[in-house]
Amino acid sequence: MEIDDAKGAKPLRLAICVKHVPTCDDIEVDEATGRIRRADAECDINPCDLNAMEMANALKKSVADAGGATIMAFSMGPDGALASLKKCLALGADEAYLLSDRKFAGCDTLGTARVLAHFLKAKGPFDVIFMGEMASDGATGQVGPMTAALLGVPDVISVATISCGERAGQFIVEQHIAEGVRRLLVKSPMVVTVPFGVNQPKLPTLRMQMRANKIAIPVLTASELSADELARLAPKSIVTSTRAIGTHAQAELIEGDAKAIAAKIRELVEGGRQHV
Amino acid sequence: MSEIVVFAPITGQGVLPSTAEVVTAARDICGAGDRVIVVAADDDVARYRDALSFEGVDELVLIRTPDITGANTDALSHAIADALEDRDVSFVLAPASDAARSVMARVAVLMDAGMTAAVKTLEVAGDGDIAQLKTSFGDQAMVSCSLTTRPGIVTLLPGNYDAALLSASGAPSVTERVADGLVSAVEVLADDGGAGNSDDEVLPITAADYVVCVGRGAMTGDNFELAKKYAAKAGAALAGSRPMIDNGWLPFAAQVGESGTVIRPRVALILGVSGAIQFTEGIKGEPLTIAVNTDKDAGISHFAKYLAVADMGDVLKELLSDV
Repeated sequence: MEIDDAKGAKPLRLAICVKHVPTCDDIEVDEATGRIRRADAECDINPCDLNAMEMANALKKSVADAGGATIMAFSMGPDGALASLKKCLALGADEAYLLSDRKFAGCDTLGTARVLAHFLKAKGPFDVIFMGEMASDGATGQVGPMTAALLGVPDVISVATISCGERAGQFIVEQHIAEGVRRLLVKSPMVVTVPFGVNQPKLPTLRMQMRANKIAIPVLTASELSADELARLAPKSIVTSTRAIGTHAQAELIEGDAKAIAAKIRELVEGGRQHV
Repeated sequence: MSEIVVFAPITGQGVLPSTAEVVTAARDICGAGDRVIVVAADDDVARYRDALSFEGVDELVLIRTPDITGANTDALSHAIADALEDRDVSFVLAPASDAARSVMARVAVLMDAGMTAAVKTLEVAGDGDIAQLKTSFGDQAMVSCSLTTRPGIVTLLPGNYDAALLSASGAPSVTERVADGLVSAVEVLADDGGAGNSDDEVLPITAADYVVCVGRGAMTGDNFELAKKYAAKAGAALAGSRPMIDNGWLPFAAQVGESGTVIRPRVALILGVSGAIQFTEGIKGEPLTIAVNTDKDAGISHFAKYLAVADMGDVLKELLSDV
């Protein structure tokens, strides 16, 4: 991707990649295939993708009087992912694209990043590409950094805030790290990943959602990828088996007064800490 | 014969402690003739030589990266991939932590290597393949993965392997490299290592075997102070649900939940937390979970193994009376 060095009032081009994920607490495994039954699962936009959308909107708002910004939303997945893209449109995205093809099914994180990178390059350049920190289903947090590496741009994970720097093409990024907060000056283009809880995402009103529902979302398919690119989508990390894990239906009650409860907790904690 | 590489992230506080557990995992999957190599890269990497000299490691590779540190993952990943390029590496293992996540994902791209992240344990299968076992869908499913490439990259969650000890006699052999000419688009303006933490010595919530998690219930009376005092006395880390962070009671680094701060302690005492999925998503690894809540029907009753229906303040006072 090219760095846009133009100073002045050129609009920022922002992108956001979101994932449509299962939201149910009771997933089912197909015994025949050993895979999760996603088709039957209730799905919605990945929770921290809403935080990423909020951050993209905040950046867009901050430059409203200085050239403005546009936000383009992308999601890779089956038709159901249109619902997440419509949510992005209702929340302020200007355009949305669904990346959908049977040839994309079964992609691992690297394959997913390759598909995203292809279409981000095709629709770019972008100054900042926003993503949620990690998906609530896979919880790997790899796709953002992988996409950045494929685009040859930096990535910053665990981003708390982003604002324009003094010079065009530079951004001030605050990143949460284990020891506290790190303040970075990052040259665009870049990928930032946004964790859950760093801001308070707005939810679309019914009117905004109804308006967004009328916007057509183009579907981009594998036909736009070269044979070599398609060959590289073959998964390198393969799930060989899946089994559902039973959850505690109901906690066992610890009875008695505060003293008795404390005694039982002490005993449980002691045993639990020694257990390896 | 091949090499199993352990990537040791260097943070503002030195070598990431869970690296020692990854060394044990590497030794566990070593076949006859295989070698375990620890690789670290930093602007000032030589100073970590002793802290990286684990028992059972065959070689320590120290890559000096002038002006490049952990924040510059765009450049650091090139230094690591270059160092591994000419070696016969079967697996690159690293801690599943923020300090390694971006670097390892970028190394996977540079080496066109398959990657499985957030793995609990590795198992040597009958055919000699190394299976990666991990949970998925918020711990609702256990999956087994296999990597088709060599090297394959795996990040391992803390709390599943014993930590390797440091070698009394140092690493058997040290290879020093300098990665010159690295360019990063990231410049560190300020690295506020202490931001959000009070002047107390705070045990990181990701490293603790025992975590005390507090929620809204701790905002009443002196409940928070009691929880803090109890955690300190019991040698536990103090963590909180999101309202505790939003309202300034605890720093962001102490937030348990979908924020990315996922904990895997052996025991979690959950006090005054309702138990929304955004919180419970942050507790992994099937620890022993004990909740104290005034509402017996709170969501936490479906997550915790044990529940005491009581005022957390009363229970904490009793716990403090004889820690």
